[in-house]
Amino acid sequence: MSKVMVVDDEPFILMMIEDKLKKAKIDVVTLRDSGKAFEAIKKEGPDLVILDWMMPELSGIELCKMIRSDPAISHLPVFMLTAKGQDSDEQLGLQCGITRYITKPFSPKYLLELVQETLGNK
Amino acid sequence: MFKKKLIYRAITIFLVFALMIIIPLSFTMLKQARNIISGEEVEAPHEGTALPESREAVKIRKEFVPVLIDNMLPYIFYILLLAFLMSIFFSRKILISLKQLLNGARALRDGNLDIQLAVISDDELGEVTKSFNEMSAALKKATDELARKNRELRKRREDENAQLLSLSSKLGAATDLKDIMGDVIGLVKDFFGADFLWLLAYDNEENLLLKASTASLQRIAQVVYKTALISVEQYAINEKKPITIADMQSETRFYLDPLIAEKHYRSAAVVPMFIGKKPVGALSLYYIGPRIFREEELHFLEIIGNILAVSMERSEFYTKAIRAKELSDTILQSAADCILTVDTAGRIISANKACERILGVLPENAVGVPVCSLFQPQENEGFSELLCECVSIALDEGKPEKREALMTTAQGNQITVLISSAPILARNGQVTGVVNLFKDISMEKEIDRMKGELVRSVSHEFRTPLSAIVGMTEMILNGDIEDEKVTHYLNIIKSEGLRLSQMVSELLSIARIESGKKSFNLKAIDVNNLIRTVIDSFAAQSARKEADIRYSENSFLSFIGDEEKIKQLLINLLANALTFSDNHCIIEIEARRKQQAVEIIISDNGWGISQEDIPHITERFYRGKHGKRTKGTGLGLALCKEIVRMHGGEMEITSKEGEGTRIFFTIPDREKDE
Repeated sequence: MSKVMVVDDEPFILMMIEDKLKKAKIDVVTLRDSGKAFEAIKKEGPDLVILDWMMPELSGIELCKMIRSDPAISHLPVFMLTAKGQDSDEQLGLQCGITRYITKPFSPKYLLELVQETLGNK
Repeated sequence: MFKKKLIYRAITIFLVFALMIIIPLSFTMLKQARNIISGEEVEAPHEGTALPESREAVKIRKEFVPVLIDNMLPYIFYILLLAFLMSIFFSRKILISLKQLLNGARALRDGNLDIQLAVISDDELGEVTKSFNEMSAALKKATDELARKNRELRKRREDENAQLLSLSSKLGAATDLKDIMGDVIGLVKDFFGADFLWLLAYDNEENLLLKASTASLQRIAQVVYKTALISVEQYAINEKKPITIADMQSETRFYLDPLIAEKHYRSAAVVPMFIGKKPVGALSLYYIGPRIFREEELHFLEIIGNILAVSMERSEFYTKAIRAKELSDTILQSAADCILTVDTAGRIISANKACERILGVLPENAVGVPVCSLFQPQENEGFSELLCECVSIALDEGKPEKREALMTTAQGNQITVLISSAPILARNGQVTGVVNLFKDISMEKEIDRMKGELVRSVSHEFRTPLSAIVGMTEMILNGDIEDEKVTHYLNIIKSEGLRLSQMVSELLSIARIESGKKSFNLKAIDVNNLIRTVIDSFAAQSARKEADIRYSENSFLSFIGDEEKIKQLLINLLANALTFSDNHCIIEIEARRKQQAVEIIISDNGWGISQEDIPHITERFYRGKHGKRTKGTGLGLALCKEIVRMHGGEMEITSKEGEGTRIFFTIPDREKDE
């Protein structure tokens, strides 16, 4: 079973994604504290990471850069699920190695499709 | 002397007469003697018969007569000589007199009018000489009179010239006629010996205004004669010639200003003033006594009038020009934007005060500097380049150009300047320079940036609650959610919906306060009542948290404010205190007078705000990121700050994480109807 790790400081977002993915038989690990996310990713070894951009401790972008620069996990697909909807934001995100850039509000169904697609390709 | 001459002359005449008697007498005597001797000569005429001559008689006749004649001859000769000498003596006297007269005539011819001839004789020649002397004296007197008159005339001409020169130099030197008008008309008054002089000039409606007078009148620039009134001045203007009045008392044609009428002036002279053919006013001289004006005096007065007219017009133009220049200078100097003009060579002609603020260029130092070298090398290079470009386009192509350029001020601030260069075009369309406007648009840029930021923030902040509403609804509809969890989802949807709605209303409140459209509903607010009401509205919430909200009443404390707004402010602050505190927290509210204001303090012993968050905590959408939890819309404190600001007060937040937060705000005193 594939494992997806979701990091977001908004509890109901985590709850939504967890409920949606779990129903599709995808294992979900959620985390609100971005400061602990990097270690958790390394520890949990997920197949895909979904990150919020704006988080108090560590931003999704910084976290992505850390993932990409760590050889052990640099291959991980990283989704950015964010309220930052500007084109320039998306460009910046993609430059940092984001696999998919999804803006809030989002359709959980669409997210699931993207996750399945990415995991299937893998 | 004269008597002596008379005696000599009498003696002479006597001698002549004596000679005239003696000579015939001598001949008679001789004849008698001869007769006696002959004895015949005596009786013969009586007898009528010729007696025969005796021998003695013949002897006497033949011997005595020749001897007698011989003896008489020297006397006769002497007498003749004497008569001859006498004639010479008399003719010489006549000649001397004639010669004297001739010399006198020549002297007269040569211009020597002082000549007086000696009267040698008391005869006709003496009379002629006397007459000559009288004539010479009369001639001299007449010549002297003529010379005196000439001198007077010359002096008057000189005076007139001096007067004209003085007037001209005064008028020529003065730019503002007001300052010298008194002097000028004083000069004219003295020159013509007038008792009063005034100068009236037309206004736009052709009323005659008082421009100047020799009396200190308070009516300067006021109407003396309205358009329709026929005054002497108006008459002179209509007639286009000087008018003199010998007896004003008997003159009934003209309307007289009360000032003139009261003084009972007897005579007057008025000259109209023209510039070309345009009448501009009149100059009037009034005399208490009689005054006859000569033609040339009036002419001179006319000249003065026209000089004054020209000077007045010139002065008016000058004053207008000065005012216009002052106005444009003031406008230029008052302009908030830097205005800098350059000539065709690109050298600065002028710069206003704002240039110092915006470009750091002192106006007095800038003149003459090439605009492309306005800054030191390597200083604001990009800006300099863009400015040069704009000026070149305006100069070479004769069309306006605009550029936005960044520059660093002398204080080291980065500002955005909008450079607008426009060609200065002469009437013939030729470019004579460029006027450059430098506008510091940093503020506009900042506002633009803030607007963009706000739009981004709003859209960003709306996206998160919308995610719950959109995503969770979708999942419920798709049947992704188990029944027991649906309610939980719906509650989240509802609360996020409410959060959105609150954000919208708070945003609108802030916008309304900022734009000042929402009017103040000011009234006196009793502080105790207000705080009690607010605390009461939190009864349920505080009970849930078992919070202790304390307030010690402060009697008679009140202020003028918008009750609804202040209530909202207190509710927001109290809600924050409750939200960001644990159960059993203590919240204290304090109200007191602080100088000219009422200060209200709300303090709690809650979680506090991190030091990083404090500077931003009143920014819109800013939610404490470093604290325990992020809650709310991020607009509550921003709104509080706006409410305090609109009341003219200040808000301050002090806080320490883990210990609590203290928020102070003041509402300054004001009048209710302020």
